[in-house]
Amino acid sequence: MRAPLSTAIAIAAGIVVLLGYFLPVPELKMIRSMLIDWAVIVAGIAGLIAIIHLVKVHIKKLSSEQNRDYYSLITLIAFFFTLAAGLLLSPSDQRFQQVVTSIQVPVEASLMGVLAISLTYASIRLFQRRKGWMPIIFAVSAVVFLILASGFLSIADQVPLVKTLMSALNMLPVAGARGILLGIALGSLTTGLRILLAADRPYSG
Amino acid sequence: MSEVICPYCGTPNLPDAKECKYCHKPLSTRQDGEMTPPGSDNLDWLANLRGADRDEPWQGESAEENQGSRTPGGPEEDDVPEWLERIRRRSMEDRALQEMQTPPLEDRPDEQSLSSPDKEGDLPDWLKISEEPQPPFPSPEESEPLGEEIDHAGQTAPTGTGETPFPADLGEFDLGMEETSPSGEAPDWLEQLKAEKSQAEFDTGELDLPLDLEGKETPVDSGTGMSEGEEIDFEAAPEFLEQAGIEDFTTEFPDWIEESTPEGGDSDFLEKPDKSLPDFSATEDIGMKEDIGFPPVEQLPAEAQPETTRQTEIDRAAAPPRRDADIEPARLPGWLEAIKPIESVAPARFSAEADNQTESRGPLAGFQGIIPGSYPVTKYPKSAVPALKMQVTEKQRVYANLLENLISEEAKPLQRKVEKAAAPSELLRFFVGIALVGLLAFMLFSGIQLGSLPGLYSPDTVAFFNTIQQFSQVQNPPARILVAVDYEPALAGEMQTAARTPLRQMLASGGQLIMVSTVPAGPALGEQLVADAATDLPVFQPDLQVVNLGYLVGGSTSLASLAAQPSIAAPALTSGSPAWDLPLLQGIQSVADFDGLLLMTDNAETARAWIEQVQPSLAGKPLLIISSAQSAPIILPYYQSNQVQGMLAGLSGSAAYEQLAQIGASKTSSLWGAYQAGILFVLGAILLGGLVYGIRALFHNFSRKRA
Repeated sequence: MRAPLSTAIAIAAGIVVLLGYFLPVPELKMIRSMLIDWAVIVAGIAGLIAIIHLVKVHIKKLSSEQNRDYYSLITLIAFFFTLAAGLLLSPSDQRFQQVVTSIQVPVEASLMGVLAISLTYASIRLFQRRKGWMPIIFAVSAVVFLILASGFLSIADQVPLVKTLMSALNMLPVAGARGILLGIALGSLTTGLRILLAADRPYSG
Repeated sequence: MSEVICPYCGTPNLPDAKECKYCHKPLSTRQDGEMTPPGSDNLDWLANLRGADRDEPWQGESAEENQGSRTPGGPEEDDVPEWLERIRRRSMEDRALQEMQTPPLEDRPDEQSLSSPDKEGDLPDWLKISEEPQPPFPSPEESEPLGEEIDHAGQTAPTGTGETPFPADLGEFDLGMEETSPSGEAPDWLEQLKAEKSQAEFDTGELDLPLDLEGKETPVDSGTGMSEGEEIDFEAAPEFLEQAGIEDFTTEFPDWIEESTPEGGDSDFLEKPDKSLPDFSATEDIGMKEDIGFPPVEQLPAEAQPETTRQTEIDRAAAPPRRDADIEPARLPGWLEAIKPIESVAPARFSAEADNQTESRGPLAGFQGIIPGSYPVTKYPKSAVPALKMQVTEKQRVYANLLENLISEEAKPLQRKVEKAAAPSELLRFFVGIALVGLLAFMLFSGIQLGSLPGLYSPDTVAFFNTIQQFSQVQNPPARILVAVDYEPALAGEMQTAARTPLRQMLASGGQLIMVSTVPAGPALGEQLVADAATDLPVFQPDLQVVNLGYLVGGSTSLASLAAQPSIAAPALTSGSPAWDLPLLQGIQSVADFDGLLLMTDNAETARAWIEQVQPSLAGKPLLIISSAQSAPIILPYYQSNQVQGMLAGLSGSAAYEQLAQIGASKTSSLWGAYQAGILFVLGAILLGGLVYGIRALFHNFSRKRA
């Protein structure tokens, strides 16, 4: 074992936090809260380190003699401008919030619009790229659920068969999603046990 | 020796036992007590030849009986040892048999010389010499020159007896006896005999030195002053033949060679390769001897050596010293030259042309007279290599091929399949983008409705609506709802449209919203959302109804901290002032003190984190989720498992909510037409694309079949 001290600390912390959920012991609950607060502080510091690293990378790319990236200059300018505005105005200031609502939201929304156009174009060429039964199945399922989500079948809401059929079809994605969630839960449980048993030691490098 | 070992079963017996106590086989003991199996005659051939040694410790005769036979100088006929008598008897039998099968005597001087002593009842000189007591096994110093002489002259024929009564490796056995002595020394009797013989030869000047076959200087006979090979004149008649009156002596091939000669007596035939004769020049020494059928000459006993050799030795001992000028140059017969051991050991002599040949290749290029490199290759053909072909069944062959393929595939790098991608059509892409944007813009600005708002409501939407109505009905104090704004700015349009109406209803009823976010842009988006929802609300009091606790650092860890101690997880407002001193948050110790939790997220992972970390701490308070359409199927199972009390998903859910709330014209209804138009456009693109490329594929296959 390369880092026995780190492993012992990690296992002890995990067991204390876990017991704090199951045992109504005030001391355990206090220790659990303290450990979680420490984790939040460490996460905040990690965020600061990430920001510093980001600035350092863009400065390096900007100062590079070969393949100098001038977009990094825009990134650095935007970063320092936002940092200054936040420090001077505070996040609650309406003018500072305009940075988000008037710049970030339209830019990201535009990217979503481009994504919509790209998906539409890809749907046209779906049968050109893929051949066989799977494109047909995918196309049929996409058409069916687009029709269900469009609300065009609401005109037939009085027809019992259509209503039952729509309810049954809406259960199909839910069934698939439940399977995915079960897999995620089992994976999370296994990962937690492996860390508690020191089978996984990501903290030891 | 304290006990006698039975030679049959190995059981130890008493020394005086006559038979084995276990197997009851007779025990014949020697003098030293060691056992000799009665029927053990594997050394009979050796005992026949070594009759004088039968009195040695490993023989069964008494020392007194052998003493007489070993006494040197015993000339009486009665004192002739038994081994010599046997040799004489066998020799006489062989001669008698040979006389019956041989031609007239004048044509065979060798045979005549052999038979004449018998007729006269007298022994020839060479046989008389053999009567002299000699050690049965000469020492190496003695045996080697003798054998050498035999090599030169005695291989003419094995005296016509056909075969020798002893194995071919007798000489080797002798040497082995001396070399493999346990003590590393020769026996006493052998040492004594060697000493006596050496002293006698040294005194008489007959000490023969071994002839080195490897090219060393030929030893010179001390008596004649000439080398041994040169002094032998095989063309001259032996003395005993002259004494017998035979003058017509010619050196001819013996019968056993003449019979194998294809052309009858040409002595040069041996120089030519002939299939009827073994290739002595190309055969190794041992092989040659084996082919001829008689043992190495140095192993021949005295009585089996050729007469010419023995006579030559006798003549050499009796002749006076001669000067070199009187010596006639030695000239061996052709047939004897051909079978000389040196010729048989060494490869055939190369021709003069080969000697004068200059090497033109290899590291010896430029040297003359060297052995051609290609000669041994052509002379000695490549030995036949037996084919090692394994016999396998078809099934085993299949398995072997499978294993071979597996091993070879492991060594090969993985080949990435390069898919043939169709070239992007810039025109089509541009047309799709323009058409989609134009269609949506037209639908938004025209206000055209393609269909009515959804009339079918999903249960989660209905539950969400009912819960919001309960919040709106709570008065004195109004409901305090924890609102989590956890969506990205990219999906702000969809999320704000879906959340606008419920928030407006709660704010209209005087509800209090405490906003937090695990997304950095969440606090600003929350402020914008509340501002949009409270538009035109007559009773909205932002400072009394809305508190923004800002951004929670740490993702799910911060959610766990918020669930345990909200005041520690989010201690301040976005402005930096303490949050928990506000009247709005008085009495809040945990998340369970809120009347409910409203989560707005576009990410199923974020929803799962909230459900896992915070929902258990709500203590039964409702958890409502406003999600995007793409993450709704993942979150819906939590509603079905009662971990979430209501959900509103996307624009369709918002439209359904507005239908349930019986809200007339709204932003959602204005977007509904564009939303349906966009879905129809995508449906048409999929169907049109499938139709076009399907028809193209059909025509392509048809044209290919026609071609």
